Amino acid sequence: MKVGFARTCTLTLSLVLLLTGCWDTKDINKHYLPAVMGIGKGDSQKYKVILQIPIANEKTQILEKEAESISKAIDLIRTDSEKSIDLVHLRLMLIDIQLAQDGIGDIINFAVRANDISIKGLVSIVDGDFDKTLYHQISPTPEVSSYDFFSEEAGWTPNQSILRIWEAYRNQESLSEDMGIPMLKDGKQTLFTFKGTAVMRKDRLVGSLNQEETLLYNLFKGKYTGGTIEVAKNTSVLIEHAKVNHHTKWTEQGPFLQTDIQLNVVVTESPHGKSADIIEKDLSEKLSKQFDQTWKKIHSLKADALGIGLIFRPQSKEEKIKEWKTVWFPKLVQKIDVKVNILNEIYFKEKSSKQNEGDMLKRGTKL
Amino acid sequence: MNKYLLLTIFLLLHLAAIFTFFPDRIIASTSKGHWEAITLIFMLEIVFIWFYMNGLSKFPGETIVDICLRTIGRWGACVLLLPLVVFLMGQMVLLIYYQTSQIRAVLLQSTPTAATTFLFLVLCFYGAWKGLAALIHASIGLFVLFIPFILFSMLIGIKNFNFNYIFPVWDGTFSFLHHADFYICFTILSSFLFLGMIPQKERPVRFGRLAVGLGVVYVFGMGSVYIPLLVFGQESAVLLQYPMLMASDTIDLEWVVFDWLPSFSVVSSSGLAVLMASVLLWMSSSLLHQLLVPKLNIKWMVSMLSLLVYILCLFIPNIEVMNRYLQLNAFVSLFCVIGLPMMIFILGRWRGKKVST
Repeated sequence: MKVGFARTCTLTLSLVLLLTGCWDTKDINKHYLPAVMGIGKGDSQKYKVILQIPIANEKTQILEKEAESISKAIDLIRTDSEKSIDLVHLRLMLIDIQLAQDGIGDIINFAVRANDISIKGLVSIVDGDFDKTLYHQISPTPEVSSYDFFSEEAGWTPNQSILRIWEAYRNQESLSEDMGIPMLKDGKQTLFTFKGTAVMRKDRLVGSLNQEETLLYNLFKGKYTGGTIEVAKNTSVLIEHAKVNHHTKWTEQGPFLQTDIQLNVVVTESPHGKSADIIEKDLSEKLSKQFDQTWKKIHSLKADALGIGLIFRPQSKEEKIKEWKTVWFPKLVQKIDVKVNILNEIYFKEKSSKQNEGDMLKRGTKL
Repeated sequence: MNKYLLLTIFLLLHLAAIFTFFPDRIIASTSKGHWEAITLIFMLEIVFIWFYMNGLSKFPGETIVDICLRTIGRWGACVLLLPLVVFLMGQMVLLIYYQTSQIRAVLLQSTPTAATTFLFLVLCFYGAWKGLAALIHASIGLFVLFIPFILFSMLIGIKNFNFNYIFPVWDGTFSFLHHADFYICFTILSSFLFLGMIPQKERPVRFGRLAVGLGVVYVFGMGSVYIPLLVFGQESAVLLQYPMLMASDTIDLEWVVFDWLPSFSVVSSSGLAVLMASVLLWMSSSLLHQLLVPKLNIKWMVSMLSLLVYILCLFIPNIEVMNRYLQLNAFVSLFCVIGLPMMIFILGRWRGKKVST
């Protein structure tokens, strides 16, 4: 009896140990949880950090400080704010284009190292007025919308590139690929307007792709669901499926890559009487040309944003992998071949070109 | 004792060691052909297990302590088994330090290490107090609790795999052999030594089943190395302290209740580490108890050793020092993991001859 009582007492008292978990605890309503962090060039100091904090009444509170390092700036914001600031729910990092030109390596390293920032957060570059974009609000603004802009489960389309912190970290360290970061500025009706993709060499911005080129960039990387391509006036197709095949070869001059892209599309819009064959032909010619131009543009920047080094990795020896970005990528020769297959025209029957000619003849005789 | 119970704890102890010491060491030890290093380690382990089990089978109903005491005397037993105690204690201290610093990094950032270590050790102390039999029975519960979490946190990254990062897949020079980090991986082999602490009539598990169990462990070992490798690539994975943990943080799933997916990985790996530390604590107390002070109650030994471990844990100032100790411990582990099974095997042979003549 006595032993049992003592045991129960010890057991109950030992629950006190669990209180160690409440060390330094702070209530949830004493927290600011920023969703967006903007990192720009300061007026007098190296960095300017702007935090967007969603608050309960559907508004966004914005806090800003300047310092020589990011964490110092956050610390200064903490000093002045009424509540504690917790970065665990940070979802989007916006970096000023001026900083990106000097290199974002330090910023990405900070984000990976800080153990309260989740590395699945998104990175993008502000191409335009940095302050205006960060202070831009459209009402009513459900706070998450800045993140939903990119979310594949919400507002993302293949016209936008997408990059997460861990991908940025991986690609800046990687021997085989560089990265493309989405660029945006404040929008008129929406929160942001997508401007294109920044092409980075290592961690430095060296050039950019526009929206159409971004679609091709995504297509090449296999992210295409729901992309619409305009073939010509009044004619557009929707990509249903894309198959990208790479044939790699090491020649004496260097690497050679033949890429075959097979697109399965449906016609969403076409002028009356334009046959599928013609659309197919137009589209594959147009895309081949565009791909070629985009590829030349990226190649001339000497930045392997398409990650071609990875495609060559299976065939390369370790020395060649190490020299990929400096020696072999500039020597790379690439040919891109696009084949288009029109699946159907959704609710319309497909017109073969022969039938079409017959139609025209009839019309001709009537006239 | 049921053979499935033993296999379960065999599996869980290996998993605990793998999630603590394995991926970052293998990734650091070589830049290509990681599977060679992993395969070599597990092939060696299966050889040692065979020697160990073969040696033990010659002494039915006896543990390694009984065997040593009877065949080579108290002094011989001390020479052979005290390094094992040192190794087990070292392993335990480093395991607890690593796990608490991981908990601190991910879950409890403002809690002092002393508090987390204390809680951690209280659990281990309770486990060791109850004895090995209770731990083996508890392992079924832990298996049911944690294996789903482990599989979840391992497989969730599958969407982010980039298979081209496997390459280069062949390393003809076996460069990992020149790397200290590779030898640290030998400490995970200690997970089979507990089999010698159970008398054979309570140990109905034979070599064949253990080999199958080790096959499963091998799959997990490969997974734990290749998952971060496929997500991050060698070049950045080598820079990460907790590669597995980071790999599970790369996933953005809006439908999961918890936003912070690495917590699954931390909770499961530290849960298994509690089991492993308890077993290590029990093993070292029981060895010391039988070798030096058989008259004292073993529970005093457990209490004293856990106090010692707690103090040692607090004395490690940073992760750099932990790495240095880990390397030192790897030397001792080579002696224990290779020397002990061989010795038991030789003693077994010896006895076999004596019996037949």
